[in-house]
Amino acid sequence: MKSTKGFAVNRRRFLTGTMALGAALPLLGANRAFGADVALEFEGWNYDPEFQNQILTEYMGEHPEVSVNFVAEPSAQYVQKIIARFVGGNPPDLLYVRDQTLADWAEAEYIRPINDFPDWEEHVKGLIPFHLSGLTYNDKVWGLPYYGDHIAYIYNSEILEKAGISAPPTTWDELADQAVAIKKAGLMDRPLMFPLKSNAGLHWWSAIYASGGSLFDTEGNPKFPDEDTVSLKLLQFLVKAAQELDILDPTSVQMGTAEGRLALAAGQVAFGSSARYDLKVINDPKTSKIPGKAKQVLFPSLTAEGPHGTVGWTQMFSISADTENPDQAWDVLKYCTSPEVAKRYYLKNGVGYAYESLDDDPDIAAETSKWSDQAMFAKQGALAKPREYITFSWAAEWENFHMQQLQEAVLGRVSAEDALKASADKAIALKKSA
Amino acid sequence: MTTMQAEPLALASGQPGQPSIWRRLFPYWLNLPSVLVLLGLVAYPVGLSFWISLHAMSFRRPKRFPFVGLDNYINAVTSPEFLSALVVTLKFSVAAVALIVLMGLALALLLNVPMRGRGMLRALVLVPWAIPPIVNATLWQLIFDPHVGAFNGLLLQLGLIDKYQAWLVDPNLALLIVVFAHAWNHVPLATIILLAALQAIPRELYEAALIDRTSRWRVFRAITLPWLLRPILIVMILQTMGALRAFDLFYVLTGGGPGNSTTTLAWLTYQTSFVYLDVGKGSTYSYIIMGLTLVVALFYLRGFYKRGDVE
Repeated sequence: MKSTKGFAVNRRRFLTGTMALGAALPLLGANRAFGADVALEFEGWNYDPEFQNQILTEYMGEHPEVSVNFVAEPSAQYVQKIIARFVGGNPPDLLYVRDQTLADWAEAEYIRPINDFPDWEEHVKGLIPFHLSGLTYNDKVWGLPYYGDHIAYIYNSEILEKAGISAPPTTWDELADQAVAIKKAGLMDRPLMFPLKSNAGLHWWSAIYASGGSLFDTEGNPKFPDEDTVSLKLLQFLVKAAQELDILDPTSVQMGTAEGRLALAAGQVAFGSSARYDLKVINDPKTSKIPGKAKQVLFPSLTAEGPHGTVGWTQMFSISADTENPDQAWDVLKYCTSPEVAKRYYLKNGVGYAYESLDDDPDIAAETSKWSDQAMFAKQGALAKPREYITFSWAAEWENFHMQQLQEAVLGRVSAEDALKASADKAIALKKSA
Repeated sequence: MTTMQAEPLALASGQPGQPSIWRRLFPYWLNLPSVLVLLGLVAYPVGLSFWISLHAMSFRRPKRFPFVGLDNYINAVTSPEFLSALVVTLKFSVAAVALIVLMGLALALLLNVPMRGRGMLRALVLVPWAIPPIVNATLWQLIFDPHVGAFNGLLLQLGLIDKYQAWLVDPNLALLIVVFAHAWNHVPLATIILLAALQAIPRELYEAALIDRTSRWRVFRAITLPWLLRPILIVMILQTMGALRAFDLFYVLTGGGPGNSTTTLAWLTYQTSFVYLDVGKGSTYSYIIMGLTLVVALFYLRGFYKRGDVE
């Protein structure tokens, strides 16, 4: 038999090696905790986890007694994953929380309010108002801001220029006139997009706020379509834009924020809304066909009086109610959410910050000027408000149904009035059964 | 030559010819691990989900677990969303199963005919089946894309349209497109089953028909079809189960829209369980889908086995 010199892998060696590797793996994972007195687990979704790890590494460098292991989950399954961990009795010590899940997770006693910690008030001073609102539920503050932003209204300045339009629109009627002019000039077939996918409620809310409307009272009773007529007028405008003027891109019914951003960046539409930080991508020559041409304008309203508000949202870091090391978790939380970290995050990714003091920061202004307008960012941000219904337990189900009704109306399958009546009835039924 | 024969089994009491308790229980001990695995991995989750379906359980308020009896079932079958989803599901299932059976039968008949390149064609027809459903869905999404889709490009080149169209935003077309994409992925399985059945039909029957100068249509109706009824039944049961549970295409292509025009029971179940986090209602929908599948299978079995029996 021919012998094999050197290292030959046979079955026995393979099995021995595999077992040894298996036994060593937990040690590899645990080596970060060597020398640390407290080990914390921090779980979030997978948006730029490298940055988060960098910040935590810096923290651990300053606090060798604490080890923090950051776990990034796919964003789309984050809520389900975290709930499974809480229900399974194995929650992380620190976690990301979206403002729309805050009420549920606070009610379920998954997270603890930061009001439990003595110096909490210092850390919410100077927060932009809609961020503080987003962190608050039942008069308690449940975390500190990770990032947040507002829905911006964006137009393609080059197309407007080519169509001979000197200023961007301030009302929906002006916008319709400009879109018709662009269409007539043969520049675009349907220059307007309005995200109406079931998960795109932020855009509808922004348009409602821009025209000074409101959908619910504080008890969760719908004010549309009769008590507050903004919804009806706005939906009638969209129906007219789709059915009569033929200026609304029909794929709007399949667009969420991501698809809307792509349509703007591809130069397929001239008007649309997106997350404010998306301007960085839309104006980047590497990711856009219209670099430098996308501009922000105050969200159009039904009348010139405005108020041109929009939706602002906040993502936060919170502390698990069951953590065995709340004080260390609080310390990590403060470190990761400081204005300095928020500034670095902005300079890297362009995502919004929660601190008013950063509005005047020269580095931030310089960065913003590369792809947007800092003054407009601050102006629209000051008009932003969180969605007023997100604390209701039936919010997600209603919003999905509501967006379906908007789609039906825009496609001409039901009238605007019937769509909103059906949506109001659904809200009443859901509220009753909650 | 020695004949292998089991020793007479002895009872514990020592009576000859009676097996001991240990020997009698031995087969059960051998099966026990599998039974335990099945109980743990199948019976327990199925039973637990049924128990959950009798409660108003939401992960938004996980500490509340009130027993509501059959309320979830009653609310489900009386809600407009459920009824609308049921209608869409039935429309989708009927259209998809019919298309799959017809295309599968046509392809099987074609591939059963001796011709050059038949082996290659038989291999090629399997390709769509090898594509994972989520990849299939993404592929069709690209084909029907309103701005860069190949379908639009083809129609434009043929002069059938003058500009790109958003096919998936038309509520009537959206469901048809999903049916077609689903059929494309599932026709190969039907073709294989029916082709195997075609090859099992005795040649003598066709030879006798040839001698009698029977027309091709009559040969198909009197010989081929009766022999294929059972395989067709199997295809229909499999495809109906698949259609009732179809999810990936709806997830990628339409998201249940526009409006609720492609919201099926499977999509509604997903939305309810994983978006609204209402696992009580979500489990209820799952059991309704299971019941529906069972009823349809029983319907097929009764209807076809009686008429399709060729023995």
